[in-house]
Amino acid sequence: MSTGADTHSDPELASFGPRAQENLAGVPLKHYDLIREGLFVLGFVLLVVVVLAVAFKAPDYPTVNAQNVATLQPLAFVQTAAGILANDGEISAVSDYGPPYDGDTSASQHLGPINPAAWAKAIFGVTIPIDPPRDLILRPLRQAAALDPALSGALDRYATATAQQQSAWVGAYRKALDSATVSAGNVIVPPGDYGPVPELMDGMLRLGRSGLLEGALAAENNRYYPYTFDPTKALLFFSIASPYTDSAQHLQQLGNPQWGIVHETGNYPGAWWLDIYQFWYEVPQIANSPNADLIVVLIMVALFIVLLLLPFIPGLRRIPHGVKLYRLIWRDWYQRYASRG
Amino acid sequence: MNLTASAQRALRRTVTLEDALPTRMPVYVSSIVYLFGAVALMSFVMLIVTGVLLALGGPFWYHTNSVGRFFDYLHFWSVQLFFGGIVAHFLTKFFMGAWRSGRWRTWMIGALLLAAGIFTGLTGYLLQTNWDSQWISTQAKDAMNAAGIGALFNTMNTGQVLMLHAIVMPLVVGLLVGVHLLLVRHDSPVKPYED
Repeated sequence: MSTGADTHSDPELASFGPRAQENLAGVPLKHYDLIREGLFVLGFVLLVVVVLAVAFKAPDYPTVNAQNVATLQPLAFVQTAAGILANDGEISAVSDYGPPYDGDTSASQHLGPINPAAWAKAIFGVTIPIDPPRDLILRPLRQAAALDPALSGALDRYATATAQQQSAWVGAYRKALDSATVSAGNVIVPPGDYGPVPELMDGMLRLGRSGLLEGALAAENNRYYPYTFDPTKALLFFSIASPYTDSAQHLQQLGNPQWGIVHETGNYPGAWWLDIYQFWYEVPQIANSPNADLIVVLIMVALFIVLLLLPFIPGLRRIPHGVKLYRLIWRDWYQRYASRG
Repeated sequence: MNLTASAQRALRRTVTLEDALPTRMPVYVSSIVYLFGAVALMSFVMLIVTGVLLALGGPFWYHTNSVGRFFDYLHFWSVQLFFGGIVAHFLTKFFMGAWRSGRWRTWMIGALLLAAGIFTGLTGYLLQTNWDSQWISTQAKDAMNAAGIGALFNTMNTGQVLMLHAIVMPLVVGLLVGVHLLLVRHDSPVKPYED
């Protein structure tokens, strides 16, 4: 080639390693400065990031806590607490859930014999044991009872009742909540046979309103308290109950009903690189399945394996050659060098 | 057998100084697409620098202090650019058939890097300790549990998330980036297709 560029006969090619020498044989070379190019790109990235940060800032909405919900939506707060006490999976995030919160693998997501949650439980056991009525309601109340003897009596009465009686009280109380009224922030139900449940729920509401519920959840069974790096129980308390999202919307999200890892709070880009993951949840047949998460995980694992092994997959690995987008990327080469052989 | 001498020979065979810090490049390396990987790399540098500063100040600082908030903004936008660079790099390398002539290792390490980057990003969202973290941690737990990963990784366990995001995952991503770059330089840029 008479391009003015060096060829592999240039002694400087000898300074490359054997693999590069083999690959670059016969290819003209040009002068290049890796560090200068790296600094140029770093400068570009720094500039873009600083400009975006100054111009748009970034979102940082505060959390929604029990105090918010108990204050803004006392009835919904009590409905949630009563739902957790009843171990109702529709209200309580981890009731009837299966591993890693309890050992009932029949409740875990599975597709035929594919049941990773059950496999993990067989190997590691129940790694985050949570009994929602006990851990999220009765134990925090027992701590609050230290300041409220009446609450202590209600807890004792509930604890000594049969499971059947407890269930009847809680069931009747939850039904009565449908016609409950709120007065001065307190939830008032029509008279009925609820046992000590109204006192317990009133205790929960006061605990929530005081802002002490999360502290009680963090302190229970924690011999290393006040060191607490794990707010799992507090986060689970409202995680599937509507008061949580309603309060969040009321507090922070007016006019912006969606958020999450793909839908960032406010008008900010979220984790758009997960759109392909989120996409599968938009497919009705998947979204309506009780095993939706497992189906999506398996699809994504399969797609990742395809991506990983793409260099070896016949057909797929030939796509670039068929599309010929590379002619645009290497247009200089094809115009100036390739035709000269 | 002298292990050090063997290591020297292996290193010399693997990557020479000209491979590692090239002053010459094949002429076909002449397109903006060759900068996409560098954008991802330099965004990673920005993430490490801003991440170290956020770590030094701690969560209360980056929630409430104006300087801390600013470094949080920088970290946030560096993530966007990081994934922008990675996706652009991946797409263009795909259309260049960059795995040809034995470069499949570089491609596979790149795919692993993408997965490690996504997991690091997830732990970052969980570590914000704000409403985003609260929402995402309680939603993402279901997929983790369905996959069996929830037995070991609890999206709501902030202590675990902190260690993963601030220590473990940067090391994993950094190591993969190192191996990826070593392979890129060892193999030299892939030649254009011969039409």
